[in-house]
Amino acid sequence: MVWRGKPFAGAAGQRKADKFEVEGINVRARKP
Amino acid sequence: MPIDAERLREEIRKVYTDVAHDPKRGYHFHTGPEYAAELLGYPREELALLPDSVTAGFAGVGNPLAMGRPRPGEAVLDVGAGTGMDTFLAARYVGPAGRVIAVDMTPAMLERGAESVALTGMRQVEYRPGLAEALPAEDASVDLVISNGVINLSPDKDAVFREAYRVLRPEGRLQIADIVVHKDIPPAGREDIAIWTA
Repeated sequence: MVWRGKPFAGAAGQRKADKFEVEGINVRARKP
Repeated sequence: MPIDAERLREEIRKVYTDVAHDPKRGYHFHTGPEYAAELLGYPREELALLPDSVTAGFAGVGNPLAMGRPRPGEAVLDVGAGTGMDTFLAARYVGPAGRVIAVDMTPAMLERGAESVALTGMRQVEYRPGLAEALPAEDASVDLVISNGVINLSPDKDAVFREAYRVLRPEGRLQIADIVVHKDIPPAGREDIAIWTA
């Protein structure tokens, strides 16, 4: 995991996002 | 009772049809280039090079390309490309010798994408209709798979990852941005389409 943040901060859906503790993440992987 | 996948897809299509037609209306989630720059770290100067038809409808939740840019000549596939902000940024990086396959299941997004290809002249971008769970690409045909705020909307995430693996070449990269929950959603919530889409 490379980054994590709160993409719903300030949006109308923030309350629901906070209720489920939603977090945005950037993830990378490589195929063998 | 598990969620009805096709009904979920129809509800998602409705939301994103609205985003395609009226990106600045205001949704439960943020949209647009200002949000992308301020909250997600997209470089403003690069966003400024893209037309409004591409950036205004951006509805991602992270920044897949911040983890590594594709190289000139590479093939990229964007799962759930939407209006294509990540797609067209990738297209700038791969250049005319590369290609970017923009997959989306919403007809309005496919139309908007085709218009943006014509507007920008970036022929390395090709919009293809398809599902994240059944990607319209051949085995081992792309160097990089990206996705931004899409996989959370799939009721079969295993299938999405199997498909990403299938289309990637050996040593290919998967770079995704998405949302996760740290608090379990109760069964009734998992069956509520409104929880999925808003």
